[in-house]
Formats: sequence, structure tokens, C-alpha cells
Amino acid sequence: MIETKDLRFRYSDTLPFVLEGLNVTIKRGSFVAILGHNGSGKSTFAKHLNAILLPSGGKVLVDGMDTVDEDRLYDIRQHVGMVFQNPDNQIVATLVEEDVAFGPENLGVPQKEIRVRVDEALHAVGMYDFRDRATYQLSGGQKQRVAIAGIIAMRPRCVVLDEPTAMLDPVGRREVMRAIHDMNRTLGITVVLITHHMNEAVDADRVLVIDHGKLLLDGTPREVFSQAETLYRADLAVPQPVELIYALRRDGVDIPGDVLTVDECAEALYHLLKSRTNTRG
Amino acid sequence: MLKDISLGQYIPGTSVIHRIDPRLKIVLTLAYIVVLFMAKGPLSYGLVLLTLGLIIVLSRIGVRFVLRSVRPLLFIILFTAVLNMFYVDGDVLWSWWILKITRQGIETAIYMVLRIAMLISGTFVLLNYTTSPIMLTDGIEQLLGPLKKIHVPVHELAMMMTIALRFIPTLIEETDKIMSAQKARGADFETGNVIRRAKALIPILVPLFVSAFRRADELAVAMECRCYRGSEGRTRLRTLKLQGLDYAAMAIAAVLAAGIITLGVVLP
Amino acid sequence: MNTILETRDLHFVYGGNSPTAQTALNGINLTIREGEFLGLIGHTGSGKTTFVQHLNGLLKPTSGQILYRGEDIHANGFKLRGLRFKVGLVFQYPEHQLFEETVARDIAFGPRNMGLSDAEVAERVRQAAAFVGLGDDVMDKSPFDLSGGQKRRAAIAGVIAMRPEVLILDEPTAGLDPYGAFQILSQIRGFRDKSGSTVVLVTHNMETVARAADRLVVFSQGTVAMDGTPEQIFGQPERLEALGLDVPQVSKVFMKLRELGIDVETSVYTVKYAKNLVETLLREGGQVC
Repeated sequence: MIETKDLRFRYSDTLPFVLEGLNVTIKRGSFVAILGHNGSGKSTFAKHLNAILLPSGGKVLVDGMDTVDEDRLYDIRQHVGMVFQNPDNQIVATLVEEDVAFGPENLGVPQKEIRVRVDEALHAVGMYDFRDRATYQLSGGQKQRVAIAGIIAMRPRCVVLDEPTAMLDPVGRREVMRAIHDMNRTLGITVVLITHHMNEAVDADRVLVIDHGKLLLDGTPREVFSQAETLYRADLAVPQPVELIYALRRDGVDIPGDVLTVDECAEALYHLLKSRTNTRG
Repeated sequence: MLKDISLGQYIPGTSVIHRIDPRLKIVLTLAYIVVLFMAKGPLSYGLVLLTLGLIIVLSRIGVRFVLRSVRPLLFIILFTAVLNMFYVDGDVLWSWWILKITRQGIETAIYMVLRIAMLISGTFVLLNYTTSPIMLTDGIEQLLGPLKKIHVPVHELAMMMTIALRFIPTLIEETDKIMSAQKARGADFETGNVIRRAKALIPILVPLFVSAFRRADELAVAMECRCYRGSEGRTRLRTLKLQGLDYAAMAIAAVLAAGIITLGVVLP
Repeated sequence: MNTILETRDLHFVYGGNSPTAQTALNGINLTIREGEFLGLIGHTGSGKTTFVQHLNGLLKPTSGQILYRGEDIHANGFKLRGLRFKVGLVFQYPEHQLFEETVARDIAFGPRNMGLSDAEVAERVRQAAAFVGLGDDVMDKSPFDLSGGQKRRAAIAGVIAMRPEVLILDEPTAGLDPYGAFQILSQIRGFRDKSGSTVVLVTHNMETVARAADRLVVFSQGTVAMDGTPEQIFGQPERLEALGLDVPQVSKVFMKLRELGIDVETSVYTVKYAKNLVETLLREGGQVC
């Protein structure tokens, strides 16, 4: 549903290119994680997906609409919603349900329907009981969920989230990730998640790694994380289970490298230790 | 904590006064002030006092809060009273050197004190204590709506007020944090003369302003991403609608106003 | 080691006598030894930030005592303001406190408040900048022109420049990517090793603190729930999870291994240690059920 063709970008003619020829296709309904260290260009890339930034070269197409087309800007932003890193700086209203209503209000949705959408969106993120509360009283995780609800209420086809958990504590991070996965699975909304938390990328359908404005890796989480060496050289980390298996293999230990999760890692180690002691014993 | 200041001095409640349409409350408050200045004589003032008493009782706001609203201006009230006592001409009751107190002076002083006290407490109860800032903003926005036709940016002003209200507690919390952080580096906000203390505020004000501008920037982008483009084509989750209670309030208010003015004219 | 800071039955209640009063700290007895690298962990709301603000006198306890080198800091005659220079506190997202025209002048704010000579101030600024890896090219720039990571390091340098005997950092790696977090932690460790100062690191990120600390104290609901070496603390992963903390993934791997029947030791919390352990087990043939 979103397609970038040879996307290139720089902030001004005197500055170097931040994005250098990215060709990415994001399919409807998928959950795509985009990884990269700070300064890799991943956030800049995200901002092209709903026309906050326009390409210096190449094209970005959202459901066939070119982002440079000013007349379609409104439609593009209704199709592709965006959630930012700072929970506070995207909340407009004093009350939770008023903030969620902001998007639909802007779209000119009839009053009765706004009510329906607000309630639905709040239920989807588990914040319905908070609808009357003051926004400043919420925790970081709760605020982010309200922000997500605010986008869901606009009935977008895709939601781009730019490091939504970077400023949250572990509890908040869990809440928000759950809401994001629910949104993708239950409502069928395409998710593009920009993050530097490896663990968040493990559950995605597809992982893209951006390094110095170029696409370094593109594949399933399993495929991408099996390339630990490449990731290390790009100043990125891998989830600890992957790191452990990789370190063992580098030392010559004979253990399968296709491991992603804690459980898989434990299983692999179990078989390794059992088999070795059995051959010896 | 400090954050609770955000809702002004709004005291949540479900009383009759709380439930009156905020637009009506604004209009009634203005009417109250006008009528108050048209009152003359003990009976007239008495009726105003009765009206105020009725509002306070119906609102279920404690008298303690009402008195609190007058307290900050107590000095000005007394000063005005004293001034009036000494400078109104009439039947002299007491004099010393160039100072004299007249009967009319005392009367005027009393009425003035009452008028100011009733003005402040009435406005506070109607607009501050029983109307949340959001309701107030909505009320003002919808009252001034017609002005859009002569290109007054009503929507933009209301949006500015809403956002400002929303960020007050956030900014207060941030000021707190910045102050603590600078204190931890040895900043001193207490000692020194006025100039020194003003300079000491720079480590607080600069980060606060920088942060406020950054927030505004990020918020603006977020709003645009949610398809905000001013009031064009915008609908609302809630619109204010007059109900039975509001019509009753209007009727009662009309009767009381008529009473006060009449008494003032007929029996001053 | 000498005790540098000590709290005795420290209680703190927000809101005093009002009906909405909340007890943030419920009788904390903690001793901090000179030169140690202490990790203070706990879920949000456990009281750790409130606690550290008592250590430099920013907050006053509702009851209980805070002793600096044996002296009660709230006793008459104790110079509380001077304590701030000896117990340096770096808040969360410290880059929000930057305000001066140049990075050098901002780092100098603390030392200048201490009343030091220009020469002394300049020397401290230079040293502090070196500790956090800020080069000379940055010193004359406006702090607002720096990158996020640089800003953070400049803010930390501002506290280090006071040469505090105790350096407290509240979530210094918040919001940073793994590489940035790793850099800052290395710099903090370098600072401790070179200066011999005591370091208190407040965080809810177990993986951050696992590698760096000598000692861990776990806060829960305003009290000290656990206190020991990383081995001792991470050796009880079930207890940590019950206290609302995220155990490092590698610990979870070994918890699972135990479930599957392999008798491995309990306190595995870094990948390096895990790898060495597995290799040792392989060499020796291991104890398998």
C-alpha cells in the first residue's frame, strides 16, 4: 500500500543526503519494523510516508497517491496516521475523549459518528475507562495509547509509529506494544514501527534495517537477526538470545544458528548440553 | 500538587449551577454585573444579596471558598471604602483638621464595599468555581461564533486557549524539574537583591522557553498529521445545547433583575 | 570502605496532611559506601527518584535522618547548599536544563556557583568535557546546536565538573539507542575508575545496570526489597519478576533451561557470562538429569 521508489532526501542543497535511494514496498495489513541506530535516517524515512517531508529525489506513493501532490495531502494523511515519540507533544486536549475526537473532528465526521469512533478507538487500546480523565494525569504509556486511539479514530489504513516506546518505562512499553499488535491483528491496520529496541522487532512480519540512509537488510526477523555480524558493524545490537548463540558459534560450538526467542535459545542449549553429555557418558 | 492548578479553581460538582449552559452563565454573569451597578438603596441591594445567596446555596460551593475569592482584593476594597468615607460631601459627622467623615460618605463606602464583594464573589461562583475551563472555552467560542462573519479568528483563539490550558500543568511540572536540576548545580533563587534574583531566573526561563517552542513545533506537526486545517469543515464531538434548566434560569434571572432595578428606582 | 551516605528510617509523604497524601518512602535504611558503584532499581513509582532527591538535600524527609559522613544534613549548622556540590545529582533527560550561550559556559555553571577562580573553573570544565568525550570543537558551540546524545553528555559534564564525591544519575540512558547507552555507561564507569567517586545509578533497565554495578538495591513500593551483589540479586529472577522488574533475556533463557531439567546456576545475567558458562559445561560434560 505504500511504495517508495529510489527515495533520496537531504534537508538542503548544502547538506549531505540523509536518504540514498531507498526502494521499499509495504504491503497492506503487514507489520513492518524498521531498525537503525540514531542518525541512520529511519525517522527521516518515516516522515516521508505521510508527506511531512517531501523527497529530494525519487517518489513516495501512498495507495497510488504521490506525496508531492498537494491536492491529495489530506487524503494521504487520513490513510497514513502517525504516532510520535514524545507522549506529551501530540496531545491537544485536556480530556482523553476530546483528544481522541480531534482527528475525526478535523475530518468533518458527523457528530453522532464521532462518538461511535471515539468509543471504539478507546476500547481498541484499552483506555475506555479513562475517557473522562484529564490527559495530564496519565502515565507515559497511557498517553501513548490515547495518541494511538486518536489515530485509530480516523480509520487509517496504516499507522506509522516513530519510536513510540523510547520515552517509556518497561510497563508502558508493554502496554503500548500490546495495543499496536492488537491494532494490526484485530483491525487489520498496517503497522510501520520505527524502533531501536530489538525485542520489538522480533514479533514483526518483516524487518528493514537502515544504515546511513541505505537499506542494509530486508527480511523476516529470523533472516535479519541471523546476520549478527552485519548488524554489529552497523552499530546495532541483536536480542540477547541471538547474541548468545552467535557468540557460541563464533567460538566454534556446534549449535544451530536459527534462533530468535528465549524459548528457542533455551531449547537449543538444552539439546546441545544433553547430546554432548550423552556422547561422553 | 501544583499540577492541580490547571483546572483553575474549578470545583467539580453536579449542582444546578454547574449544569447551566456555559454560554448562558457568561451572559448571566455580565447581566449580574450590570444589574449590580444599577442597584440603589437598601431594598435593592438586599435583593442582590438574596440573589447571590441563592446562587451560592444552589451551587453547593462552601462559603469558605466564596470568601477566599474576595480575600486577595480585601486591601483595595478597604482602601476604596476609606477614600469614599473621607471624600464625599454631605452632612459632616466627624472632622479633624482637613479630614472629615460625612454620613453620605459612610453610606457610599458601605455600598461600594458590598458592591465590589458581591461582584467578585458572584463572578467567581458562576464562572470560576462551577464552570470548568474547557466548558468556559467552549462557551466563549460558541458565543463569539457569529463574529466569524466579520473575520474575527474565533476558532483560532479558542484553539489557542484550549491548548494553553492543556499545557499549563505540563509546563508547571517542567519548571519544577528545571528548578530542581539547577538547584542541584548550586543555583540560588532566594538570596540577593531584586536584580540578582531576576538574573538567577535565566537558568530556568531559557530552558523553559526552548522547551516550549520545541513542544509547539512538535504539536503543530502532530496536529497537521491529524488533518487539522483550521475551522474549515470541522465538526465537534460535543456542541452546547440549551435545555429546560437553562430556560428556567433565564426566566428567574429576568424576574430578579427586574426586581432589583425596580426597587432601585422606586425605593432607593 | 567508609560510609559516605546513610539514611536512617527515612520516611517521606507527599501532600503532608491533606487527604490525598501519599507515602513515597516508607522507612528506608540504606548505607552507601565510598567508591562503590551502586545500582538502584525498581519499577516506576517505587520511590527511587524521590529517594535520591533526599540525598543532596533537595527534598526534606517527613521523618528520619540523612547522614553525610556521619553528620545529619538537616541539623542546625550543617551547610546544606554546600552538600549539592559534594553529592551531584543528574536528573532524567538532563539535556533539558541546558541554557548557556556556549557549552563551556554551561558546564561551568556548577563550578561558578561554587565560587571558584576562573582558572579553576576552566580546568574543571576541560576535565569534565574529556570524561564525557566532548571535544574542543564543541565547547564554543551553543548547546542547542548539539545532537541529542551530545547534549546529554554536556549536561552530565555540568555535574561532573563540580567534582562531586557522590555522583547520582537518574536514568542516564533513557531514550538513547543501544550504542548511545553503551557509550554513556562506559564514560560513567571511566569517571568512577579515574576519580574514585561513588556512583549511584537509578534505573529500571536491568541490562544497563547488570554490567556496571558492584552492588544492587531493589526498591519496591517505597521500601528496600533486596540488597546485594549482582550475582545475588540476579540469582533470584522469579523474585525480580514478582517485583515488577524486567529480567535480562539471557537470565530468562537460563530460567527456562532449569525448567527443562538442566541444573545450571541461577545468577546468569550477561551474555558473556552465559557463553563462558555454557562452554565450561560442555568441556566438563556438565550435570544433566
